[in-house]
Amino acid sequence: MSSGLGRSSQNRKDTKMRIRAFPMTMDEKYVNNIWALLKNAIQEIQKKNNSGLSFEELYRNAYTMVLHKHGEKLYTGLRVVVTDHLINKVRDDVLAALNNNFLQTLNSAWNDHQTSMVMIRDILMYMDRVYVQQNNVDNVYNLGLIIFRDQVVRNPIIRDHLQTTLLEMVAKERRGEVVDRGAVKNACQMLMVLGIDSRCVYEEDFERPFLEQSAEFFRMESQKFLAENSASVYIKKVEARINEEAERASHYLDKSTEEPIVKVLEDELIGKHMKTIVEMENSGVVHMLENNKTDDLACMYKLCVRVANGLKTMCNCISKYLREQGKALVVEEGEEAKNAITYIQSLLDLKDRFGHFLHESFSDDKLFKQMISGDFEYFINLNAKSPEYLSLFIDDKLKKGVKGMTEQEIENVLDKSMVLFRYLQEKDVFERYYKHHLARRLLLNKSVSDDSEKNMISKLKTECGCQFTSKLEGMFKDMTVSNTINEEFKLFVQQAQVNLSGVDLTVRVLTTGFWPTQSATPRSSIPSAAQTAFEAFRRFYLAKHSGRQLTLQPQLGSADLHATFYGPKKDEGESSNGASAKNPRKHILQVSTYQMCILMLFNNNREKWTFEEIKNHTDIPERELTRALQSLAVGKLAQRILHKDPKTKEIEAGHIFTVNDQFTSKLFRVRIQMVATNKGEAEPERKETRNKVDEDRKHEIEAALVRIMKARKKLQHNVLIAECTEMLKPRFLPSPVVIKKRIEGLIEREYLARSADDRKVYTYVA
Amino acid sequence: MCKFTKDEFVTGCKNLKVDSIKSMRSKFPDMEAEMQNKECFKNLYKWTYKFCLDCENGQRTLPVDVAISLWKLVFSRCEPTLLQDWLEFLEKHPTVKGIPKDTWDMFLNFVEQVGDDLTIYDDTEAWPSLLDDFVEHENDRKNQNVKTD
Repeated sequence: MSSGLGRSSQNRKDTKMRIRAFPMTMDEKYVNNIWALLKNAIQEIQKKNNSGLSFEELYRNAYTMVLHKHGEKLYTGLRVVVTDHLINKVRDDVLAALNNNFLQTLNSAWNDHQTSMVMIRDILMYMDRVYVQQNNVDNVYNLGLIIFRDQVVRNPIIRDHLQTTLLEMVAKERRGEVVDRGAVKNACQMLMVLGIDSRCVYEEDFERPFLEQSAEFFRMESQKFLAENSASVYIKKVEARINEEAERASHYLDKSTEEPIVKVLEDELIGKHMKTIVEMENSGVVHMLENNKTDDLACMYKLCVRVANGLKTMCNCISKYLREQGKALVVEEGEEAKNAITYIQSLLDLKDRFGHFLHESFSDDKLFKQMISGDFEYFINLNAKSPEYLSLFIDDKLKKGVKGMTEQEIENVLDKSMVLFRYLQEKDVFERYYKHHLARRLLLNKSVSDDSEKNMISKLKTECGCQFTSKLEGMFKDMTVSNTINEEFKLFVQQAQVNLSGVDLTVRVLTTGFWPTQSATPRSSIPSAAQTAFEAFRRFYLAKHSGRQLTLQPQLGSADLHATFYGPKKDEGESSNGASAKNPRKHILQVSTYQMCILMLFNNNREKWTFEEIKNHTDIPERELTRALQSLAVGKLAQRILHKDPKTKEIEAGHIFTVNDQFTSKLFRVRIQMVATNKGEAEPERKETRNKVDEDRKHEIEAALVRIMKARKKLQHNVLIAECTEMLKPRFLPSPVVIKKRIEGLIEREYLARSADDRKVYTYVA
Repeated sequence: MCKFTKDEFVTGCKNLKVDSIKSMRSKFPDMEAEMQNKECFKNLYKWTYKFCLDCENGQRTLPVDVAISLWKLVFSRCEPTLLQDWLEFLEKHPTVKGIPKDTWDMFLNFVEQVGDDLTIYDDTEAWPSLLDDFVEHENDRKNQNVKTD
């Protein structure tokens, strides 16, 4: 090659080699010949007679034409030939087969077309690469597609018939008949391909009408399903339908149709009838809840998830039901106070039930979780006694003699109780009762174990922080210290030979700040023997801890009394005259301190005492006295130490009490039980507790206000109220009116002041 | 309670340039004119409370009957429309024993801002709770009147 260019030695930079075009002209005739050859070949290909053709020759000819700038002639010619063939042969064939194997004919026409176009393209590849590129026209294959689309598939008659046929086949299958899925699949694929770079042909010619027909179909189906009037049947059918349609789309329609068709389904079958299904009488969500149909609920949930607002509709329906159930458990009509244990247990059962639904049917969905919590918070606080009842429930579980529960079971129940605790709005009320009940357990020695008590306290600590539990821990410390003191006292008594009037004394020393505050300690007169013994202890204690004050708390103590009953047993006949001191029966009676005071009165050679007299002699407050006497005189026969005349249940001033000398018991040690306390406080006490709570709250609000103002120095009224409420939320919910009054109090005591420029702003007074 | 020291008296007379009861009387129109000024009146109003407080006996809150008389006195020249209703309310209210300083001060603001149109009163604002009670009482009363009509 270098011989043609003699300049190579002179010009090193120029390293390109140019091959000059072969100087040849083509005449008209020559071109026409080439074209005729190619045209014939194309037609043969179209007739599927390509075996006799030479690829190389045809390619070369096409190449030559394009090279000599006759690409246009070639291209136009191609178009004409293809169009010709498709209109005059293929289309006619298809039209002829309209009512006879239509789809198969169309499909095979399509397949043939594809095959021949591939071959044609191969021959004309040079034109594709050069002419097509340069002139920005459709390439050979696409040209073929366009012509096929426009002349065959989108021929009005064929187009309509194709659509109808396909839709009819789908409809048939929906009715349960078997159809030729392969044919449909081919047709759909054809439409997809015909869109060239988009799916518009498929969409316009098939998908859109398909979706419309489907919508109509499902609209009717939904009516049919609804008519069966059973929500669970409905949802199962819907679920089946959705699966079927999705499978159909992925198998023989185009996969991209799956999403829109499912959406249509969801709209027609679920979206439009959401409310009806959920609220259906006797079969809807409420019915499912009532009958624990977990599976049905799960199915309904899965369907509701699919549509906007579906979950909310279902959630609202369930919430309404839950609130009703909760309210029914919580509401107390009139005078009947509920049993705290059953009250709380029923709430726990309800929580468990819905926890089960949440997990099994609703996949722990957050929305449902929140709904359940919100509802519990709502109805548990409808009853102001809930905090007290919860404390009594826990009290019951921590007392000795909890029947039939293993340690693990008790632990679980306490954990569940903590969940209820979190829902309480008035946590400070709970604290007060818990302290009270804990004190009772500790002092009457009823705790099942120190460990379980401490366990419970640490749970509360985790919830509420140290402030809540520090006093409770103080109570435990007092118990331990008291035990030590008692040991020392016993030793002292032995060594110093102190006379305790025959009383075996045990004292518990309670630090005032830790234990529940009592209103002024009642001054009751205890029997002299007990008094002497106590004085001995007092001297002993104060000698060790000078500067302290000891006050006896008779309402909290207990006593064991030796009792001798001289009368005949009831079934020994009426021989009451003969002083049958034959078989005096001895028992030890375990009673409260007050009861001890009462019973000791009967020692002084006096057989009859009226209520009034007892009250005056012992100075026991009337309420307590009544309770004590009721336990002794009008309780179960096995506990009836005293007789009352008249024998009514109520106790009035003039009633007369005598010792029941006929008392018998199988046990040597008889424990006199106080009137049941599972019902919570009686009204007057409850009011008192409520007053104390309100007092405490005033202080807490003021403390919170001062703390906020100290930090912020200057704050607007509304903001202050909001922040104060927020700060106290873990304990209770203060009303803005109460907070306002506290602010006024603080202004008066000059902790806060109004800002001079804006009377709505407060400032902190250092 | 309601006492001037001799020094205060003498200094005050010097400032007013008076040396006799007659000259004091002649100053009255000027002083009244001065009271037309809102700021001056406000100062006088606020000062009145402290002046009448029996500090020697450790009193921190003005008894309600004293307060009522003072209100009548301090507003004697330009009585606000609501004053009568307010005083009546206080007299009938069973639990009010004393008027805190804050309530006294705020009453003037109340008179200025709310005037006689109770509809613009907003009880979620920082008004003293006694004024909240008063407005509620007044609204109840008006509603009852409407009902009986």
